[in-house]
Amino acid sequence: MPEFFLAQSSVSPATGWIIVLVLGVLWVALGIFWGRKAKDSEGFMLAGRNVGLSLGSATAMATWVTSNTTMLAPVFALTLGIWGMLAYSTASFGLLLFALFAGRIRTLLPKGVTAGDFFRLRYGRFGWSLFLIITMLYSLSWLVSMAIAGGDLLLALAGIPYLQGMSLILIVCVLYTLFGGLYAVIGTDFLQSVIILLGIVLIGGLVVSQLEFSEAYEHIQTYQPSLLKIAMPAALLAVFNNMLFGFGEVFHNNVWWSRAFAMKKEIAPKAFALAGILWFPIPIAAGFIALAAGPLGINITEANQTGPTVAAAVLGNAGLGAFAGVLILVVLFCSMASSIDSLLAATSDLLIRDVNEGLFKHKVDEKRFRKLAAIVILSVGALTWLLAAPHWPIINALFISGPLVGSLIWPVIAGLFWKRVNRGFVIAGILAGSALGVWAYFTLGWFTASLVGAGVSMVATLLGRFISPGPFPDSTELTSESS
Amino acid sequence: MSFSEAFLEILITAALLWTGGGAVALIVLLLIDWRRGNLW
Repeated sequence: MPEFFLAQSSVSPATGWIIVLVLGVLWVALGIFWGRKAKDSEGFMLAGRNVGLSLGSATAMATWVTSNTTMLAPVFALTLGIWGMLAYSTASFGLLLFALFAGRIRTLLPKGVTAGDFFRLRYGRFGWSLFLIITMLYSLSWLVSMAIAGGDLLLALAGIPYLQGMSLILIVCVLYTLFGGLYAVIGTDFLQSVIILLGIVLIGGLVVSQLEFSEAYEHIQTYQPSLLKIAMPAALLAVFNNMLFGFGEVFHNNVWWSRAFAMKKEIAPKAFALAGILWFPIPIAAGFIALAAGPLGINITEANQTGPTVAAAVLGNAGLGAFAGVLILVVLFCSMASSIDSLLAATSDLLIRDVNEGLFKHKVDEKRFRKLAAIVILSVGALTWLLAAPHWPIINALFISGPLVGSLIWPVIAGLFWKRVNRGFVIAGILAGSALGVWAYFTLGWFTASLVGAGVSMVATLLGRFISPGPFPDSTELTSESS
Repeated sequence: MSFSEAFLEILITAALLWTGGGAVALIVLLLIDWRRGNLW
């Protein structure tokens, strides 16, 4: 076995600034260029409802590849072994199932704009308000945790002070979303997804080329045998918990609904299915490198830096030491930007459409739309910055929101595919599922929370199917093609 | 070679080929959509 060394993974602060600024200027320039296509509010929020298969698949896939995927997958592999990687991959099932929903969404709401339209139509004002509270908590904690991860990344890889790095990444994403709306988000997502995929394959390929599988296997079996166990109870629970968390995240969130509305109607199911298929291997391809750490003699001092540490060592050993930090920074920056931009756009749409127009009854005409959209995007960006600046452990809020979004899985399924349901039962199920799921998070363990949230809500929704079910309220406002 | 060793090797190789294939598939689809005027 060759002798390995831990390469210097970091780039200089100046190089870090240059990389982010060059990519940032590119994204903003493309955002401005593509944003010219947005002639009205529908163009800005939904990219003209005419997005094709390639851009549609790439944007769905790229949005689902976050810094958690590229950074946490190796940690899962390091602590939970083979099942840890597979557990993470099950998050792709959310996209695959959403493919089945996308066609129904477009049929049910041909003029829909946000996920809030669906909840208002199906579950009335109270159910809609409940959805808004849950989705805002989830979206904001996701957004803030991405911004924090961005600041941490630039600090770890380039030595750029946390506040400067976090601000830099956030400003870049706010700017191109501001100028180009969903056109900019979808266009840049395509480029970012190709960079992410190729970067992961390059790093993974180098690891494989330097790894003797039989020796590596023997090493793991000797020193970390639990990682190779097929039946590892905690990991198996994590598989189901992660899958349900992923279902809840995808089924309810406006990030995905806005894409379903943005794609051509016949394309949307295919694009989500393809995105799920393309996403499935990523946590394995990005995660397995952690299993190589021991056999390759790479010392992991911080578990959450497993991915970059192994990648840097392997690239260094391949004679690409100087290139290592740049490649890792570019891949991780792309995986963060592709999620931050989507969350900024989708959350702003919810605030404009559901909160401003829906709750506060402020009708926005086309002339004032872009100004309002700019104010809202800047405000969401500013709020994210304020919450990210103190570097609180916001990632915990994201994990705690698991049972909350898990409790929305069955209400979405019922609202899309059933004709009648007892809406009181459904809403009670969301409340009980959320409360008991959060309780389970703190008392039983994180890997049970989404299971409990989704399970309780499922029971209540199924009861609502059989006990005094009523038809959904008639609304022609969003269901008519001609509206 | 044990079953789990073979499983691990196949899993990793497949994941890398699958991921790389995904990038190629996206680029090919983009070119097809572009040629047909179906980008957006």
